[in-house]
Amino acid sequence: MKLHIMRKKAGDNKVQLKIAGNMTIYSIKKLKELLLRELKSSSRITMDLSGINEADTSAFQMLVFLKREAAATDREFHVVNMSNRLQSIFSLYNETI
Amino acid sequence: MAGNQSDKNFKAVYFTESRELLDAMEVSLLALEKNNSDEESINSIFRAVHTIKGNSGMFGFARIGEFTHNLENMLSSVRTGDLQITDEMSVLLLEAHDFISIMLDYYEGADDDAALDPDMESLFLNLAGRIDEFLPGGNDEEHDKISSTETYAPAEVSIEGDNELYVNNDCWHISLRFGKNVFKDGLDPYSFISYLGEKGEIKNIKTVYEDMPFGDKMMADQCYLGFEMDFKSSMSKREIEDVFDFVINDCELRILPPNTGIADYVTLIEDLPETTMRIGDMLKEIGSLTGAELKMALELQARKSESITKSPEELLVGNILLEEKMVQKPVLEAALEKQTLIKKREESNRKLIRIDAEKLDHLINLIGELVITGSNVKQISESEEKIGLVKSVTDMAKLIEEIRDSTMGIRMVQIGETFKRFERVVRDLSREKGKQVELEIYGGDTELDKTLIDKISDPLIHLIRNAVDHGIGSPDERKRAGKSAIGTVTLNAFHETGSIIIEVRDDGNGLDRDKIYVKALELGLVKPDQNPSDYDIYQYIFLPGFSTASEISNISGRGVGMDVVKKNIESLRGTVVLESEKGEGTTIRIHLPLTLAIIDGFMVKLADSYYVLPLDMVTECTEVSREELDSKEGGNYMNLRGDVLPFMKMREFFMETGDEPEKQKVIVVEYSRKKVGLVVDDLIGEFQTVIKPLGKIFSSLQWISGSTILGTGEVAYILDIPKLIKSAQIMEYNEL
Repeated sequence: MKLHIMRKKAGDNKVQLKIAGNMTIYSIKKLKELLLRELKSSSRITMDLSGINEADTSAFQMLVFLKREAAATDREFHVVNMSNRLQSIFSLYNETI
Repeated sequence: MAGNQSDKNFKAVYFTESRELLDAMEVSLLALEKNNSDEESINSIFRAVHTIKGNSGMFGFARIGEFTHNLENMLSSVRTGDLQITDEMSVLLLEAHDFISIMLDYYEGADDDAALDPDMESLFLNLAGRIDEFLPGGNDEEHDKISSTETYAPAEVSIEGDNELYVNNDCWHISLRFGKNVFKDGLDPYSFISYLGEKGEIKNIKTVYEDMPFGDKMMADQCYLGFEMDFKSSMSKREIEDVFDFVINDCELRILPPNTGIADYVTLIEDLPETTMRIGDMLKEIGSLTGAELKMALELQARKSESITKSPEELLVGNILLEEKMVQKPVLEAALEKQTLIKKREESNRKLIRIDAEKLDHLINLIGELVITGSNVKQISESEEKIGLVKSVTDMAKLIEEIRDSTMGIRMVQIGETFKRFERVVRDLSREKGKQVELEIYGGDTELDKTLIDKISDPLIHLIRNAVDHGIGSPDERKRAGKSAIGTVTLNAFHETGSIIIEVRDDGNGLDRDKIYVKALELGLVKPDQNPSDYDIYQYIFLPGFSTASEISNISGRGVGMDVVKKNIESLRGTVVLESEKGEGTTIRIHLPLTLAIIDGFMVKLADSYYVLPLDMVTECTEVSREELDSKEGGNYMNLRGDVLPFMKMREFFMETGDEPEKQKVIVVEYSRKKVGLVVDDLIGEFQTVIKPLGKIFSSLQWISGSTILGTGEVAYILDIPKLIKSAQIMEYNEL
């Protein structure tokens, strides 16, 4: 299943993203570039990840990366609604976002 | 046991044997891990532990006895089905196995009642505690206490010995750093770690991504992750490593065992790419180390690195000072102690040298070749008519013969020592069963190949146990039957024409023929209209799965079954028969070949082929004219100095055609107290030879046990006389 990204502006420099599909090594490079761009160009980013049906550790790594990146560049980064699959990865690695 | 020397010899036997038992135990443990309901493995482990326990008690190694006693209790519950073998338990068993081996090494050089050194003592307590947990009534609370490390105050850092520090944590610490290409190689760390989670409990895990670059430099398809985790499981280090087998080239894996020394953590902290503080915090966070332990580790590490940053001279001095203060002292002491141990051991071993069996086998092979070449030279020299040469060659042949004999002698061991061990078996079992049994030993000086003795020991134990458990009745029963209250089990070993015979005899009740017959009927082994002889009926008990209900008891369950006894003996090219008389007792007779690779043979010629017979079965040779043989009516019997001698025409047996010589030779062989004459064309003479096994395709040729190559390059066959006689009997029977 391809990746679908719905982008919604939510006021000044604020972005809401809804991502659905497979978040795996096959698409992770492009997705990271896209999300990093979004993060840089906004002050607050909110992601809805409930539609992710397939995910792997590279997705986990990218989300952790984004969180760290946001903190380092003083931006807000929120994830709302993680899919079960993502949740199971985060709980195995004992990480939160 | 008279005198110190024999005492020492006995102890040497104890150590060697215990090690052998441990080896067997290990094999079974490994088999058990593959199939955790394998009864044979459980029994063999039990047997090993049980025997070590018994022997340890006998020689006064109390601590080993104590330890194996605990272990035996646990195994006993397994055998009764009260406990199930779990992965955790099989790991514990392996650890216990290793520990027994450590104790054996230790006590071999120390006094029997010496105290264990502190390291071993703590391991002892650790293992014994874990064994106790399995036993009914094991203390679960204590178990919990150990696992919750955070509740331990700094004072709880256990200090063993002088300076050796141990971490108080019963979890494995696993440190993982994945390589950059893991994702690209199609591997997902998630699958490995979640699999690990199924195999035990990941008590705590921490993701490490210190090395991950920021911003655009971070490549999302590369992996920058690492994990530090606390893992509670009964798996072995090897098994944990196996979990990561697929990804092993793509990751760095470091595993620290539960309750390891702080020094190991120091090494870990140094090895990991992240900074010391970061790692230290993480170790504390996931609970691998307590704050106090961490502090100690960091101090230790700081002192170490301090010495490294100093100039070389300072480093040397610093090192020495530091080491002296910190670690070296116990190490030095241990080294000194070890040296004295080695010295002691050397003294006690002065008369025994342990040789790698492989080296010995190699030597024996070489000598085998030398024997063949020697025979060749002899044959050639005899055709040359140079007096000097013949004499030299004869002398050389004599020397080769001596070399051969003494080399084979190296492998030969008196069976007496093995027999004597069984006294304990008989004593223990008879007490347990409320019986009075004495073991009588004959022929303890009979020499057997060492490997043969090793392999025959287990079947013998089983037979002896059977004899005590089933054969001999209780004192009351025996008195009623008009026998003395004390039963006797007799072990007897002796040589008999080319084989060694070991007898296990009891003067007990004998086998119940009718019961076995009924069971055999039930199993369809005999048809109701058949009427096999008693002897034949008794042999049924060697069949797999053959057991009459009354024979099952906790003792017979302990050992191998009779079918395994038979299988073991047959794998040594031996045979086993059972004779029994109701009310009189049972005798089990094991025939073993001398299993020497080199035999003294007697060569004969038949048509164009050469055959070799084992010389020690040949009793005499005689000549007989063809008329005399042919004129016999009513069967193949001839007159040997007034005795009737059955004979066999080898020409007929091998279906040789062609002209028979006018005068044929008869070679008289004896086996199992039976004499048979073999009619051959010509006698060549004595011949030393090496048995070369024939290929598998000839394995159905039962009456040929091997071949050998003659000086002329021709092949001679080595006849297996017992089987030859047997097949001749069968053929004759079929003709009738």
